[in-house]
Amino acid sequence: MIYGERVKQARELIGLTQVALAESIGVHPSEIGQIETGRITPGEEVLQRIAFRLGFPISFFKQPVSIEFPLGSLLYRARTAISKRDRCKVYQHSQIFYEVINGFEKHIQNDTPYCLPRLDDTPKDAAILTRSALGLSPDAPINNLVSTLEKNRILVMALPTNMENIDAFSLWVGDEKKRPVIVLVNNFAPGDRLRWSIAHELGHLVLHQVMQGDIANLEKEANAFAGEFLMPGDAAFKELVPPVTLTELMHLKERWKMSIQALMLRALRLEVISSRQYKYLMYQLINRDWKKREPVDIPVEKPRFIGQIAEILYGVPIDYKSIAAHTNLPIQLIRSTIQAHAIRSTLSKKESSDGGSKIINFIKKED
Amino acid sequence: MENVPRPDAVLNDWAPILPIIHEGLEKGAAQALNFFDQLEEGHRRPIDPHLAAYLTRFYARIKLREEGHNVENGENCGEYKLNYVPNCGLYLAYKQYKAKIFKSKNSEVPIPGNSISKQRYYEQMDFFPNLEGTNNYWNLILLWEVKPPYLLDSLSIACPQSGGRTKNSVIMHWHVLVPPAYLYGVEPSSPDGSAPTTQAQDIEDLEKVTLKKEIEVEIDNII
Repeated sequence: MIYGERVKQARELIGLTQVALAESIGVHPSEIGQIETGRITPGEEVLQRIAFRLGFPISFFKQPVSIEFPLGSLLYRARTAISKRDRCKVYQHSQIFYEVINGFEKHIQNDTPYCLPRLDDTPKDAAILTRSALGLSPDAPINNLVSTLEKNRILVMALPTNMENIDAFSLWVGDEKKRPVIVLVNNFAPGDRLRWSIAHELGHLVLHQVMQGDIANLEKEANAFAGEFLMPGDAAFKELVPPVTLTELMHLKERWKMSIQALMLRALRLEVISSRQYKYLMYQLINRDWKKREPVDIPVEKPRFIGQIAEILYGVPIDYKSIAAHTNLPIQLIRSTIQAHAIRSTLSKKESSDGGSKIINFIKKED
Repeated sequence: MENVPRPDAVLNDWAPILPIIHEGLEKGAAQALNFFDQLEEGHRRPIDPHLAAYLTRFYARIKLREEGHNVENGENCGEYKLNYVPNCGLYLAYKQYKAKIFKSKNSEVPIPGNSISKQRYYEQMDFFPNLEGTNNYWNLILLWEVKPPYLLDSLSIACPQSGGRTKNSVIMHWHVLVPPAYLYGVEPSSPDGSAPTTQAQDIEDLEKVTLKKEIEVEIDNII
């Protein structure tokens, strides 16, 4: 007995169409469709060929999908920024990895309450309230956004993928949809851009529990939320003093960890600068060749929670082989995904035993 | 005459103050543009180049005073000395160099014309006796240029040799564009797109996350 949905998950994760899979294992494409919808069960030989082609152990296909994992804000990007194939890929990867995290968490004590509010306010008011709910100052820069979210029990997952037009998506998961999740899908995005994308997704989580209305408007609201959340209006009026220059914006980028272009837009939206001054700044930005490559590198904030629980359960360096055995997943998939998070595995044994005092060695069950 | 300083040596010596000068002129040009933008009501007024240049120097001077030290007051606590020149001219001394800051057009160095003081300056002769140790200074010219509508475009630096009433009389030992790295104090992001990330030593654990006591020993299936 296998679960057809698992075949679909693995196939979409590696980016194969039903036709391509069918051709590569020598069956009719309709057979793959029937297997995936559970109408037929493949024979042992076909199953082995599927498993070999997809690179997953047979045991993976024999476990049911137990998690309700909606598409969340990926739905907003359905036809615009991301192809169907990429959307399926990041969705299936996220779902499978969320199941792993969910499994890890059954063995973990986490006393942090869920703090993220769901609001029906304007983006500006919602951002102010969210800052307060997350224990942030109303007018100071956020030093480490990812860490702040994780400390408030928002799960931030990073995938080892490189999506060009989408950095992240978000969703509420689990029973009663009480778990906020943000998935990072662009490993090459610079730190400032990633922070904006995370704040944008936070806006979707807080404001758009129900996906109603025009997609462009929802995106606009999420952007307005992100601007106010990352640089509150009162602080912006104090620091964006006209006439704003690129050099001043460069210094503000370092302080607020927002891109120069995001700061220009913030100044425009708050009417600190006119549309003409915005245009002047854009001329100069292009002239200095900063449009695609801005100065001042903002470090990428890697999520820590998942790395930490993997280390608590599987030691430092992490025993990926055991995780792969316990999850019935390919070791490469497990390793690359966990390594997209902040982990201590790169430290020497001495450093990790000195510095990682919170890590408890996991004692494996003897066979 | 001593050996003429090399442009790279001058740029390195002046690296600490070039971003300040650039920021001052950038702010000044933005203020000047803002001034003319505010005058305009519905119809476009041409920017008066003389007033715009004056305003640029005026605001740049404010910035330079804020950041450094003004010798007019006879104090001596800043990193560089900003000397008084009539008509809001910008003239400062730093390390073994003095520099007059002029507006340029088409990357050309202005002609001293009938100004004896400018001619002497171009010929590396001392004229301003109120600067301490002036004999050991090299005279430089810092040139700023704008592009339409009135945005600071570039900064260049020149070491003059001579200059008189005609264009042909103006000769420089060298004249170089100040590279962006000296203007902004930072380089653009790495071209390969790789971004710096959290380092192992910066990893901070979440405090309230621990192993459940009752299952400390056994895990055999995660999913």
